[in-house]
Amino acid sequence: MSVVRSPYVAALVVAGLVALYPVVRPDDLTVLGVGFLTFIYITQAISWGLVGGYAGQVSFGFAAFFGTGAYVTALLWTKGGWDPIVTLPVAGVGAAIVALLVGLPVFRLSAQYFSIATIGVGEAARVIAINLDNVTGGASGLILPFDVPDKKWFFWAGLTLATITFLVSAWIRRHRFGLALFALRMDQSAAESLGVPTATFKNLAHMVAAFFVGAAAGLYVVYLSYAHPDQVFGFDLSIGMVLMNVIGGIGTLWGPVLGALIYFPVRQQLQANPDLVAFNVLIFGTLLILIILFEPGGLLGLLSRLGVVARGGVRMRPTDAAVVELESTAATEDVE
Amino acid sequence: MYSLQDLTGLAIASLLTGGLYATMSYGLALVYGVMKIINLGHAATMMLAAFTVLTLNRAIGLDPILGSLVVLPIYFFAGMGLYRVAVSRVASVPIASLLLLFGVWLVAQNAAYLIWGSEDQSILTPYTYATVDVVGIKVAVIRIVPFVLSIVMLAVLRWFLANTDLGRAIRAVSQDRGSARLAGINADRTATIAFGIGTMLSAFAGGLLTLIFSFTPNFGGVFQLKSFAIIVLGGLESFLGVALGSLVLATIESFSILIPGWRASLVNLLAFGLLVIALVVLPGGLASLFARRQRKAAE
Amino acid sequence: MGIRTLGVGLAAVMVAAACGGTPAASPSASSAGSAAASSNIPSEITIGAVLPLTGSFNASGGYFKQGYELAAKEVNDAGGLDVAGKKVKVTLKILDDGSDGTKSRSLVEQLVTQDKVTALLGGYDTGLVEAQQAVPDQYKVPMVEGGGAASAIFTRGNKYLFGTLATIDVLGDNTMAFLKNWIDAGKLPKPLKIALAWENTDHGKDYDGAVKKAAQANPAYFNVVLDQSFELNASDFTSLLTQVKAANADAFLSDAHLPDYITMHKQYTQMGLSHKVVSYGARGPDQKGLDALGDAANYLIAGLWWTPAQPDKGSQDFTTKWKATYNATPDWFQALSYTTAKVLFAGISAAGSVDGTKIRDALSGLQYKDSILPGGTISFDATGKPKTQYVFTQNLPGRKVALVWPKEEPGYTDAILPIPAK
Repeated sequence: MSVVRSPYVAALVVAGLVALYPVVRPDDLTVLGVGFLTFIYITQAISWGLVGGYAGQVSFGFAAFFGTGAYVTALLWTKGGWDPIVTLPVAGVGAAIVALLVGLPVFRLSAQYFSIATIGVGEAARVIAINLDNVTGGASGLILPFDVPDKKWFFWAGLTLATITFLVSAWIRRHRFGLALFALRMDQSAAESLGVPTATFKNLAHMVAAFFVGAAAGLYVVYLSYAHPDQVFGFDLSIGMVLMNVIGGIGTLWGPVLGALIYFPVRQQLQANPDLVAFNVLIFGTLLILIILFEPGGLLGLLSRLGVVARGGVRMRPTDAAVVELESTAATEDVE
Repeated sequence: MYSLQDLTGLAIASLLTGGLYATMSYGLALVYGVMKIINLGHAATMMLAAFTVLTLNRAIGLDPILGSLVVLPIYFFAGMGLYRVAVSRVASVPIASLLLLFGVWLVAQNAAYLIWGSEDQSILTPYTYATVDVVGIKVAVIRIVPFVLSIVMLAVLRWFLANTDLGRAIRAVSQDRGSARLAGINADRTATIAFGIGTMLSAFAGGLLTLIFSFTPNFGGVFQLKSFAIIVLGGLESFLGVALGSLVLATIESFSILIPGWRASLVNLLAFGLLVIALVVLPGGLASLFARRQRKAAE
Repeated sequence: MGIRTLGVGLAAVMVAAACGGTPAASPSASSAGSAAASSNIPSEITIGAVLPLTGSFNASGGYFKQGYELAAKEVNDAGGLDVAGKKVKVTLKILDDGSDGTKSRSLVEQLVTQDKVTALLGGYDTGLVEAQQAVPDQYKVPMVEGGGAASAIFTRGNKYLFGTLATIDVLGDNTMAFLKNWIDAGKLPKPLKIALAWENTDHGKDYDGAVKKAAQANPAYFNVVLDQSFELNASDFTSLLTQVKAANADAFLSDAHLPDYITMHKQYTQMGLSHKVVSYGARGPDQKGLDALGDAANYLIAGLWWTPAQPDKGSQDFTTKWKATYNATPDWFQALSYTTAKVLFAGISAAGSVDGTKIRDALSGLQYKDSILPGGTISFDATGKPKTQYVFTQNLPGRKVALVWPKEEPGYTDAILPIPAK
């Protein structure tokens, strides 16, 4: 029984089923392409959730990590002649280093100032990138080779990355590290008085998150065969990560996954519909407002309230959510 | 290469731009002071006000400066309404209110696209090209107007906070909500009115910006970020600090061209950099520098 | 907890299935894109395009959509496109990318893989075209684009991409040829001291590069005394213009998009600057600019891809047609998108086939004679870059626009240089 209950097993089963798709329909290039991009968004959303959800530090600057990872891969691939897949861990490490450099000063701020400072960091990174002509290609971007692996390869690579990110996120939740993050989200000074090294933990979460975002960015530029500062450092990316989490259920394990599934594929369908296209930002903006006002647990919270997902009747308030999560994590720990 | 006249020109430009920045930032500072909320709807308000002023100008030929004044009641009540209906529900959770107002910004942008389209808009007035000679340097009238108004606004706001019941209530709530309540002040009502005034101030700035800039529904984002940097630099709650912070940012931006090898395309980096540095190094703002010095002198 | 997690997992799969399910339901009957032989011409073909119909480029994206649609309507009204003797109806499938590169790329792929389009028309703005441009070659479906002007587009080794928009480096070259002509005529000083400002985008870099190259090649004629970039959509140009003022140049050349052009030239005028010649690249006769700047826009020189001021019959007919259809005066966006679609249609006709590779081959050797763009004929070099030129205009008092370059263009008049002092 405990095997079925484990999120690791659940994730692996879901991933395994999804991985069959290219085998069954190898020629459905549309779904393979959209699927790949969705996995990139899922990776971004889960990673952001480690910092923005678990630790409660809402960042508007994650594009800085995405851009860094994208350019590490692009440069090692074109200038260094590396195989793109080998560049991905390096892209992740590059992004993690940037995360540390950003985090060291900025995490000294309280949560709200942190948010504002990260807007500045993200935009500063974009402006710097667009002016570093020799490194990033500046406003021209970088020309990357067209001969890349086929869609199936990208589909599986993206799925693998998203699954690993998910497993890491699930592991963190159940580990002392995750509990410490929840604790510092609820009450930083209390956590500190209990001996939790909050600054270290925040930086660690930030670096882990940046690592996966950076690796995803590397994969993304290989797929796109195109790297441009305005796109890989774009503020839209940072906003997207916030939206996916809030919509899906901030601070939860599956919420970012759900949010990403709605954010990218659903939006793509909206945009292919001439009657709805002009409203797509309106729809997401309104959804954000409604969720903040009425269902801080996001769609996941709504589903659980409606009883669609089990454990019905759990009312999630922004602060309760953490308590509930803590309790449930502890409960799971007991079961096993 | 730069004559004394050029440098004087830069100094005057710094002063005028500083005034412009200050008008943009008072509203943000007031809302932060009372509610400790960072109003990401500030850019939306400026943008919507710019379009309202434009619409009035197109429809009945209303002058943009007058237009900026005429729209104030609309935004005052809209701000109070927004606070009552939405912001107050989550006001106790700073991140929730931040995200909520961010949603308001997204919705406002998309609504503006649907109403006005995404084309660049601008307003041409009979005095758009009028200039005045200041120590031999031509200065545009439309840049002097926001500067003068920024000083007027500063004086009025300071007077209002010191000498009216409402102003004193706002100050009391800013300093300590709990004790303000104990002293018989209706903190919710005060906060609602303060949010209305803050929104109104943002709208006024948005209207005035139409004198100088062309705009689209995306308008305001960069200004909003500059305003954040300014209020942080100014110590977040003091209007005088805001005015000072504006002047500092404008001066740094204007004189940045003297740096050898400087690219003008890096100019926004100054505001972002200043924002981060101010937050990290100088959390109390410029005012804290003076305070620290006074403390040292006292010791 | 466990049941809940699984439940969410299932919900996630369901969402994925719901989204993934759409293509399966849509028709995927013919594989027209690549397989159809010339003997097997369908009675209808689909041409796909992904344009920014929302987001920051929505206005221009809308013009492009209108231009594509007008061209398709004309072909269909005439009974269809002539492909190897058979009349083929053209259906357009236009999707919106919301001005976002990732979505743009993804939707172009969707057109190819799901809608099996025969060929593609390009998006608008250099950045979005660059995001799309890997798709034509990866799937061997030709694309003709009229919305991306940076020369970098044509340096990536594409075989299936063709542009109709003369690149910005050519604008720089043409501008310098125009100036040289007036230096020789004694209207402008020799050497001409140039203050150069450019937006920090691909667009601006092309312009900057071409102007500097021409200046280096002709040191007796040109001397670039200031070379400065600015951020796209910068709000304030006071310090940049102070530098321009301090540079004491004869000519002020700036490459800017419309909002920056308006703001910058407003501030230029307010600061009392003046030069013997002023140009903002491709900006000048735009209606929006004239509205926003009033008399300050007088005497500006602009290099354009097309202008309704061109007196040739083709251009005038197009203007009339456009006004009758959309009740608006066309600008270069409309002329370019219309011509781009016409060029693609001509390519398909010339190929006598709906096979992607054959259309590509036909396009690469095409000499399209019915073009309303300056020069009259459109053809491509080996990289797919168009061999087309610019036409230059000068704004005159009373919102008049004169055609001032090249000399062989019908309707040519001499430019008024140096700009008269106010």
